[in-house]
Amino acid sequence: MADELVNVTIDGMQITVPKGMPIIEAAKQAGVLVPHYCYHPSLPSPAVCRMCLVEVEKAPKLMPACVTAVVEGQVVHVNSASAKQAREGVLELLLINHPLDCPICDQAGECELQNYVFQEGRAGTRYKEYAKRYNPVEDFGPDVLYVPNRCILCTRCVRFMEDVADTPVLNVSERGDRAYIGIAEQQRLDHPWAGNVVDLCPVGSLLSKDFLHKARAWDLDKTASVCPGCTQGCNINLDTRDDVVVRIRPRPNLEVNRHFMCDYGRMNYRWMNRGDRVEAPLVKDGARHVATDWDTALDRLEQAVRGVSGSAVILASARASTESLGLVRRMLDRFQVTAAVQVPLGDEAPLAGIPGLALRRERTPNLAGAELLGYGVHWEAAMREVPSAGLVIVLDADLGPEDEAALAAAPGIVVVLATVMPEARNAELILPVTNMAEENGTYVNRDRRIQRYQQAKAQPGMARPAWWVAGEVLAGPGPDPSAPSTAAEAFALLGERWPLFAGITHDDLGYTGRVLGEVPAGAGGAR
Amino acid sequence: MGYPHPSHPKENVVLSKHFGDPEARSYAGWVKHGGYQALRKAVGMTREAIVEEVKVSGLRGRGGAGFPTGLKWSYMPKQALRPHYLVCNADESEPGTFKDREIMRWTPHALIEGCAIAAYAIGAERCYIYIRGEFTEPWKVMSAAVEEALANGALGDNVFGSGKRIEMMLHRGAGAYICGEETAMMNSIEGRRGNPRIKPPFPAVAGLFGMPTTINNVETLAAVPHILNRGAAWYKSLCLGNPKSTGTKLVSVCGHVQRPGNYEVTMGTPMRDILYDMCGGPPAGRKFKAVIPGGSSVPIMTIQEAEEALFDYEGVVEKGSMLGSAGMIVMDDSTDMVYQIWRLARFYAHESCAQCTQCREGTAWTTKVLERILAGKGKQEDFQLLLDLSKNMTGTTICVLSDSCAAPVVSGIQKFRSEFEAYIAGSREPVLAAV
Amino acid sequence: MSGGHGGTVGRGTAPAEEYAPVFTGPVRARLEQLFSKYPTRQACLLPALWMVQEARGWISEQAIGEVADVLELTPAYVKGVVTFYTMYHTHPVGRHFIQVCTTSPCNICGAEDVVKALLKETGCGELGATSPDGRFTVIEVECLGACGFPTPILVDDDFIENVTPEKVKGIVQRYQ
Repeated sequence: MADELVNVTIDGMQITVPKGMPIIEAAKQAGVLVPHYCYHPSLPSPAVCRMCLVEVEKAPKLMPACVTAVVEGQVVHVNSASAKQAREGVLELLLINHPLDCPICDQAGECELQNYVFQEGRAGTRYKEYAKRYNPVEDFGPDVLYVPNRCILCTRCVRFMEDVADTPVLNVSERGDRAYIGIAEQQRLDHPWAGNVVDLCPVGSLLSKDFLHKARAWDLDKTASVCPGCTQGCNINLDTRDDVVVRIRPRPNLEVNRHFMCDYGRMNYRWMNRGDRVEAPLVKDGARHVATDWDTALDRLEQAVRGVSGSAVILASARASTESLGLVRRMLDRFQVTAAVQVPLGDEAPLAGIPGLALRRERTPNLAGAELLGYGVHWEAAMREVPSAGLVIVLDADLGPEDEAALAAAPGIVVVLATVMPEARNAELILPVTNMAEENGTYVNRDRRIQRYQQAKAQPGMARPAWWVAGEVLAGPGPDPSAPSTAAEAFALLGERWPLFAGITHDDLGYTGRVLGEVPAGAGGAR
Repeated sequence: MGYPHPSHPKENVVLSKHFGDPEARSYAGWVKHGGYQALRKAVGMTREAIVEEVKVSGLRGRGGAGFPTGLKWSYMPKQALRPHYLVCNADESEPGTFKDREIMRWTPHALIEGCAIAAYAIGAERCYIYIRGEFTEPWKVMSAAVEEALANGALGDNVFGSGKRIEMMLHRGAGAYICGEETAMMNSIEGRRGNPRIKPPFPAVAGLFGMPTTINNVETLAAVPHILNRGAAWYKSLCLGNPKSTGTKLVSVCGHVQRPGNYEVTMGTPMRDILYDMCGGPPAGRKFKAVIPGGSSVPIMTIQEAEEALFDYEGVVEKGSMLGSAGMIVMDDSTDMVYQIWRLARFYAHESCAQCTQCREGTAWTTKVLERILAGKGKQEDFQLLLDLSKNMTGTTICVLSDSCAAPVVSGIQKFRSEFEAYIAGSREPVLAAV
Repeated sequence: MSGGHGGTVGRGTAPAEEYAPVFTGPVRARLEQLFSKYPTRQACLLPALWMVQEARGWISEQAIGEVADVLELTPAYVKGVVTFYTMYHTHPVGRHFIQVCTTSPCNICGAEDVVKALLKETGCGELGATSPDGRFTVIEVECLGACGFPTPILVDDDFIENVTPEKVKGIVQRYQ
């Protein structure tokens, strides 16, 4: 159905938007934020918080902007005296039972109640003579705590579980000001996507036990990234404090994950902070490894790459970037190469209410990217090539005891690029590389959407991105301007060999990526 | 009739003619009283003709909103491409109102016949009668009556041989005033919490189970057979005041009157006739002080205002209140107005569904402020606080429960301020313990 | 969590015995008849809850689980509905449950005196409490829709009009 457009005026700004769009969305296009709580673009709108009431000329009452559709010629006032008064009224009422918990509440600093009260609430309360309603904290399930006293009954959590997760495990219990969010005694909030209710909660009522009292919101640096958990490629923010990743939260991408991410991805960040890293390039010296500088290490690597005869095997990590996979592969162009990417498997967990969104069986963020670059999902076959290979490159793969034994017995040269210190007694070189939180790069998700992830914490020790290592080797000995010094430059080298990547730059990918092979209409996808 | 009292000459007894007559409960008894002729006639008419007749009659919703019934029915799709539903609102919970209970327990077939005609007129083959859980006697009487009607062909697959199908089901409520709100009632029937829905969509477009639905009050539906039997012109002629208010109204008078009961009056009857003639005036030795004419959700009237009002939709509005459900609560000079306003606020706070912030928190806070005043700890600032809360609670929510809580508070402060002042000044002894 | 209406709602403590399902035999048959009266099973929820309360006198957590199973809903969902409607008891009450209207129309006609008389006569002592002999629980309720007949009370399913403190003793004696 063709989008009929209408002209509306919001706070004096004239905009043209599709007919039927709710005022609250249209206002975004006019650069006006209509304060709200219960509304969320990925949830059905019940219009219960009454915070988004706006003045619409010719309407007899204030209208809820989340469910009132725009019509031609409508004139809306979001910040008129009556609308502001109504909001002040809502805020006053929300605060009568809401405890003054800010000093001990995790949400402080990213709390929508704090924000709006500061912006337009009353300076003081008139609710002085009464005790506030009290109910004890409840443990809802694996990660979620519910603090009823702080709850403003926006019901986002209930609607998420019922309508998006299709598992009504939360309810509103009782009536009137006795109401609270309830859970049945025989149920737990253990749905694979349940952690989203903590993000959805505008206040500090639903809390993550994992994040409880860990860091203050204003101490956190937020970096746009992509979840390395599976092939879905949900967009995320890595929240770091003092160079440690303390929390992962979803970042909106309407094409991939809308506003959500699964609990598996959410909780899977501790490995990013591991301290048992390879500190410096290590070169084999008899029965042991000796630390050396990058120049020496790169020279040794280049000798092997140029001098060794026979076939080559690449054993790549599930989490290697497109840039790293591509340049390592190119580095071995003179060889007959068997390249394998590691794909751990797990159970699929779809989010029922959003078609195309699931925690995928393949727990690797760049499977599609790896396959496009000539890597196969044939680990055993690749391991069988090892005894006859002249050169084996291990690209930060997780090696089990059998793999390690095979490599230890390998007659050829073994070079290990690793984040965490490996066993690798037989390796000629052990080179420290960055993990995905410490570098820029891209992943290609299962829908062939290539998305950028950005560096969130410092590169430890002498670690460098794997693409840098391969890029230096490709450029030859001595300083060479053609060696890529950024991930974007590394990415630019892929197009020559793999046409699907030609003609795109990192800048083109913006914050929401692009599907390979598709030419997007208009400017890139950030929304 | 002013059941349990005999009819008063100033009444116009139409719906209440057989209140108190056990014979009227049975199918046979009802037929003897002229029942089911209208239904027989209706199934031979077109839907449009019935809707037109009801439109012309001027019948308006008797549950409280006073919306023109024929107009409401005309909103239903002309063709029933999807199932249509009629819901009869028998959740009567508005304080002061007790008329629907009488219709159901004395003249169940009047309601059944009215529902059947209405269902047919709106293209519905299924009608749910939502009876509040506390109405145990009406439930039993209506259950038996529906069985009888079915057995006699007034309901079922082939109503009176016409080939038309009308199914009637009773659905029991479980203790929630808010389920009397039409959209909350639909949610309740669907097996949900009784939360009112936002409109649009309107019930006639997407109502019960998402299908086109009309919800009507018991008294409204009970009037329909009379309109078909005696004609819209007759019903329209029953008018003593504003021509937009026609027909008769059951007025449930309660509180401090000599003869409380349901009185059926022609629209536009002077309120003083109801208070003094029909109800016999105040108890011996007392004087009327205040009247809440339309169930507790409307502004309180002083007795002076009430004595000057004509009892129809426009007449009561003219005097600053609303006709509502016509649950007339009469208070004499022994009444503590502050206490009763507190008790009403407590009612609304108890019944709030908890969706909207203003209602959920505002009704409770209002109750607490009034309690504090009654406990002798009131302050002058409390007037402004109560009025601010009431303003915040009016016109800002999904349904009008919060507006209903504000109405007695605002009108109470406006018209009986001295009673509040007495508590605040300490010249009146506290009647509640401190909160 | 405290309820707001005289103690009918609380965190139900389930009895220690094994739970015997309600929806078997004729009760099950009655429920299944209802399935054809509504287009969804969910719509049978209020009637099903009434059936549980009829059979057991109150609605326990296990009963909530059973109703959820039978109607293909979740226990949390059913519980949200149960706690909304005040006539459903979520913990055991006296053999006879007395509801007294005290909203304004009855309030100005002496309803609170009726409450006091009932609390005394039944031995309950306070609202929401069950009498020591387990016979009665008395609560205040909102408007019962019989304002012209003050004060109306419900004793179980018996709707009794025009109750005054003087009549209380006679009424209470009728219920063992």
